[in-house]
Amino acid sequence: MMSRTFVSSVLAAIIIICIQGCATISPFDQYAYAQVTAVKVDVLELMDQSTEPYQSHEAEIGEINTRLLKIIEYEKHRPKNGITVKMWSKLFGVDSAGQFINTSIIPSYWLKWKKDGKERLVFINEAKGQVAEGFDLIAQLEAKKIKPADSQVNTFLSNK
Amino acid sequence: MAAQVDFADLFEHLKDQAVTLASISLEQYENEAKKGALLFLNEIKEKLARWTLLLADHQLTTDDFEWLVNSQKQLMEMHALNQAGLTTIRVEQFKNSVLNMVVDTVFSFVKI
Repeated sequence: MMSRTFVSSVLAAIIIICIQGCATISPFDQYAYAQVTAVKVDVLELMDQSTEPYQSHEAEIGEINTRLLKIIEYEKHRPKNGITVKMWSKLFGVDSAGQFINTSIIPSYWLKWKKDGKERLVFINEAKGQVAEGFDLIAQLEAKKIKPADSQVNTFLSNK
Repeated sequence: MAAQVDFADLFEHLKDQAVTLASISLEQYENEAKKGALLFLNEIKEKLARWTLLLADHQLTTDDFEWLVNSQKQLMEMHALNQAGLTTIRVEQFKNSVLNMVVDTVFSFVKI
């Protein structure tokens, strides 16, 4: 038989060690979630403009690319966030030299638009569906990540 | 005098509850993953059929069609990564559930 104090102390130690050492994926990040959902809207709106000549929207494309690069830079610096970073590389891939990966979805769309001059509505609508799905997958994973506060364990740890 | 706890009994109780928790979590996740995979495959089939018709109807060019197919390849990889992430999250949630269960069980045994 063991005393109540001893059991509580051992359990508290186990829980502290587990919480600190056991996470294998980053927790939910409200800023990251807000960024991906906001930039999705702007990218889709810009794709709507691809019925017009590419040159007339080059500046906007540059601005959106910069926003996307900043989001990805933020994601890269979150600990244990490798899966999300890899997902981003499929949607908006940038290599180590800072060059866009042209097989990734968004850069390849801008390239196609540049080459074609303008795009047709039927293609734009299908392409928007693909881009939206990519953003939704990233947002969905973020939304499912564990929120940082775990109320029961924190309550236990704060009660001596 | 400090209250005594039957540690062997407590541990057996914890073990039983952990096994029950594991089997419930695994079964739920397996069902969700299967449903998700089937839905995804159906969506791909529908898209490819639609794009092929649009191509045949000249509403899409061959370049358009190639872009869409390439984008679908990227999305499939993203789906696989998404599933891997969801699995990792599920493991984290299970660990948290076990920790919460341990706390609850110990509280009920020592009547804190």
